[in-house]
Amino acid sequence: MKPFEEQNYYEMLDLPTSASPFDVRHAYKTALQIYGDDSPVSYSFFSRDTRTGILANLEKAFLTLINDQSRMEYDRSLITAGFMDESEQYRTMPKKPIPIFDLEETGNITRMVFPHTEKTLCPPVGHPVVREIMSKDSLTGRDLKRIRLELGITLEQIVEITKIRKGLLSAIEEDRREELPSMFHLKSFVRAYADCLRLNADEVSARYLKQASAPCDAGATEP
Amino acid sequence: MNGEENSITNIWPIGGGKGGSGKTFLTGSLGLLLARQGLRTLVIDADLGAANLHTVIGVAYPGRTLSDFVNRKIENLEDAVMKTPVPNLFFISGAGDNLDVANLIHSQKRRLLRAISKLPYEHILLDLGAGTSFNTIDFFLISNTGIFVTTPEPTSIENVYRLIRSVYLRKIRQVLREEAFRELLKKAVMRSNGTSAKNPEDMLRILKACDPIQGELLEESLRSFRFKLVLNQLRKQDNHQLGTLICRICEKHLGLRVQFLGNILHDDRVHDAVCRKVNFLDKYPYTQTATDLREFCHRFLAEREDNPPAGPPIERAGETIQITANG
Repeated sequence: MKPFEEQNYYEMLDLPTSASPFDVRHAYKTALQIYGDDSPVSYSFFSRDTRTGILANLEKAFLTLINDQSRMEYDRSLITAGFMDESEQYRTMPKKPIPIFDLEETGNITRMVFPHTEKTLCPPVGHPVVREIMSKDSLTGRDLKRIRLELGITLEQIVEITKIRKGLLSAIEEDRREELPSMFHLKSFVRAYADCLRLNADEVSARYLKQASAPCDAGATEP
Repeated sequence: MNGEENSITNIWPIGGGKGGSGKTFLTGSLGLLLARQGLRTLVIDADLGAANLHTVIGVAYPGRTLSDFVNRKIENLEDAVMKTPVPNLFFISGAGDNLDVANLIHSQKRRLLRAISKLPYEHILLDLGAGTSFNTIDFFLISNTGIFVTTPEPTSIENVYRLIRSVYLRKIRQVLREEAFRELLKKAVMRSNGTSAKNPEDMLRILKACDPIQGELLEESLRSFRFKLVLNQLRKQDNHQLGTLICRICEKHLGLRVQFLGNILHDDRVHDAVCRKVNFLDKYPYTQTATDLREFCHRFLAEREDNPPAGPPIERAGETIQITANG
């Protein structure tokens, strides 16, 4: 057991060296609960001088660790003295958006769903199947679905990005007209869908809407 | 002190420094709960000179007592054991007609302690008296699993610290030889100009500085303690973290492991039950206090089996933060 005055700031506050500023603040609060002048916890435990000394030390520890600059300097002095390993140092991690829904039920929601790969980043126009489909005058939902499957993107991924209901997307893909929303909404949904597939949103939505607004049997009979 | 007997028998001295903190009530209740679980339990009223445990466990007129053993009226301590209304619960009273039983001489005390540690029971609870007299402390050091009882009041906390430090100092004294101890005391007074030598932790530090091997040995033996703490008579408005924080301060500044066994809520009905001389747990089984007592017993038994290191609950806040940061 090291006497209190010889402990380093982390030990004084009972913190691991990788503690975040939140932890530091929390630990200082707890320490004040223990060592504060009116604390029942340490009542009669210390003499007045000891308590004053401890409180002064705690304050110094807190003020050093809560400031990024001074904490870095302090850490460096601990590392050179051999009391601390460099890998245990606290690093601020930039926060990323966290996906909330685990639609694929992989149990691993930390993975970003959208595949930022070379393959999908470059427009898939060069793809033979895509080119063939895109050369048509009007596009049906089934065409869109074929493109999507050809590119290896799942419907769930599109749901994740566009926040459009899955049922609605499959209605678009399967041309279930009775379930489709108004033309105005449909247009923006298809645009968002096309964006996900890295297709030209204007072109795709225009051709799709042309098909969707055409008389019923015409759309249905088209192969 | 009692090497092999301890593996069969668990001896639990229950002390607290201040009078009125509920040591006797807790001993009685814990004894009852253990006996109800089918464990052969013996409660001993070691509050010599101020015995009153018999009232709590429903024995109005104790027959044979500890003082009979001390005065050699009976040779075997086993003969002083009495049955109680509860099956599996046995009792040795400390009440007696000689009023000078409070002042045990050293040889009597040694004989008594040895006899206690040889008794064949699964659990032996020792109800100790208030104060920090040598009698109390030596009973406390009969095993390294003493239980401290305190209430959330500063007066009580002050006394429990006093008791902890006295036990600490007594242990230093037991480990060191007489001359070595006196020399250490002298050094301690010299170093601190006669001011802070009263703290045993300072003495340990001085010893470590002068004689590292001996100091290490002593620290080791202090570390072997498995003390426990109960916060009794907690009112709803009191700080529920108090017990945990007390354990932390002991660990941090005295190097003593103290495990917190829980809060027990204050209830006026305890007073009522004691006045009627009935058992609180039977009369009011569905109160928060009774639940607290059962929980206390449960934790007490669980701890005995696997000795989990008691992590301070403060860590929990840190954990949740880390989860979100990783996610």
